[in-house]
Amino acid sequence: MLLAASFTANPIVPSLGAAIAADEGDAPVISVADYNQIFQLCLDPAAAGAVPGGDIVVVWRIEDVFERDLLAWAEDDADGEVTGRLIDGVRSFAEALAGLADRHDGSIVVSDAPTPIGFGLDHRDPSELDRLDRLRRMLANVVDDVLVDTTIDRLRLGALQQARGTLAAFDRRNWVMHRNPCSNDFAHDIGTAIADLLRARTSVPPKVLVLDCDDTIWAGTLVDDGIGALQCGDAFPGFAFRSFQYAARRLRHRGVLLALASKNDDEAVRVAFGQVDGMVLSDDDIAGRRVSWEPKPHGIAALATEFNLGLDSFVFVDDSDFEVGSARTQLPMVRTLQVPDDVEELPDLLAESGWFRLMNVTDDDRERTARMIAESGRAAAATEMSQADFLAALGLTVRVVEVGEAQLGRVTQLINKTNQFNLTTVRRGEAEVAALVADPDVVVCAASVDDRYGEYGIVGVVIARTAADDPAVAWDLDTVLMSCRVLGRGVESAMLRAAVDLARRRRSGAVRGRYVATDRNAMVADLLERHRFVPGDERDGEPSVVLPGGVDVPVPDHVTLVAPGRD
Amino acid sequence: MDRLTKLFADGLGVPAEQLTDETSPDNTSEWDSLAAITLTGLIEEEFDVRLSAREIMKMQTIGLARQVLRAKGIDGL
Repeated sequence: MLLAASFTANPIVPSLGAAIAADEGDAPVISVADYNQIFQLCLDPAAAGAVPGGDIVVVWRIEDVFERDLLAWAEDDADGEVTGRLIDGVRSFAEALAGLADRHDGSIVVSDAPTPIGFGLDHRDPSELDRLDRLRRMLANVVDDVLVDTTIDRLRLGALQQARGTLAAFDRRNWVMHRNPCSNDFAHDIGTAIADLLRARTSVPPKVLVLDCDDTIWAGTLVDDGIGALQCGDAFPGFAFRSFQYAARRLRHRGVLLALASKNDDEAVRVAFGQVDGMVLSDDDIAGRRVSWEPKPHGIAALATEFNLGLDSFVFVDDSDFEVGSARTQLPMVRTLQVPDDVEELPDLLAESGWFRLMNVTDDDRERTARMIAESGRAAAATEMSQADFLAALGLTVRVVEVGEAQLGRVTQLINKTNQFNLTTVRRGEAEVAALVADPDVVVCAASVDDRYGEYGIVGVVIARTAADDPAVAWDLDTVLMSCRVLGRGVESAMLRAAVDLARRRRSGAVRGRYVATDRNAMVADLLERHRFVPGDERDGEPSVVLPGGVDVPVPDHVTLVAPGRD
Repeated sequence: MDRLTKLFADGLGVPAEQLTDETSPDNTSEWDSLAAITLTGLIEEEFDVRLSAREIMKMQTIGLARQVLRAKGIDGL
């Protein structure tokens, strides 16, 4: 790539090179043409250092190329004569650049000029700044008119300077010493913007934005906290999430399809969309949805099939390390964004990615959501992604301990908060839990989880009591519960295995359990059957299942289980 | 090796052993005008300081750069 500028442009190179390397993996070769040799470049690109087939980027300023006319105009131009000279000069300059497109077979990017600065021009004087800015716009139009029918891409340097602030974009020392007018920040802005342009030309524009729900479009967790606790209103932190929803909805109006991938109850999410205070998005904005307890990569791949779009046009946003990581490893074509820890960054998350800049929006794009909603309901195809491979690479460790004083608080919280993955939904206060911990006829265990993405802390509880009514049964499962945050990776199997082993160290034999249905815990209806429990005798008039003595709960190979009595 | 010499070695792409307080643009071909821009940025970042054009112009050797920075109250050079 050849960077040609009307000023000392070398400080742009590091940011430009880094941004391109981040896209392409290789550091590009960037040479800088001699200072203010743009006309010469246009006439003889090879002599100026352009490589056949390579990119040429031209960045220029009015006060460099037309210094004398510009400063004459700034002094006085009552009759418009100098303005006329500037227009003629800029038109010739643009025509020379258009000619460069005929002489060079690679791609060309040409900037517009930013608002002139330096030479004592006073940007804090509103009338002077306004006059300078009007000149900038007029000359930008002149360039646009000449280049409109060429293949030359445009870099909007004036807008970039405004975004930074004209004073903050300028460095008077670098200018006076080196003829480099750019502050470090502005040099970085320019390098990044050039990389954005090159990326927009070569990469697939995003067409689908897949959103998680909990702690992504609203603060809070629907299944744990309930609909009333979800926040996306005018108060902190909900306001950040509400702002993010506005950003997502704007993309929908630019033709990006919005979809949900959330581990949740679909009906509950629909209700939340209708009822949560401050919601910006509505069901009509959502072109596709995979709201279930299935692995998200499966859901995202199914959306690609449903929309008939490539995964390289998908962007996926989630707050969870696990979900972002599973998408990255199983669907590497999908671009991922993680909800930042600092929630004030969330509203700008999509904009700062740079992926949605420079999209060409067509009427067809704008209508895409309505069309997709009409077409939805088609069967989703099975995916080829290997959940097993992902789990194997996860390095999942489940640690099970008998609960002591240190864990009482968190265990009690889980007992009272867990709704969905909860076999019996028995609620207890901390004193009651403490009494069970002290009871020699009761085993209370807690499971904690970590994997390569981090630690989840205590996420599961099992309570077993010695069975008194049936000599064939050693233990009754009083409580089996787990946070939905760690669903879908075999944690429950390891937790059950360790709890049964711990109980059997005190008293060997069969373990009995039963499912107590609520309107929210259907996901564990067959939990015990899936872990080698078989139908047993009725207990208190209710059916029960039994894990026969000597039969162990199976643990998936990808889980490392650490518990007392295991090597 | 002191921080300032290491910084000049990085900025000039010259082994630190070849640098002394007498190193200057006159005896070091790598110290050209572009390297001067890079060095200014490195010094400002490393020592969290803003240099005026005059101060930069005084830094005609590594030893003089050290004097300028000391005069600005910077320790641990």
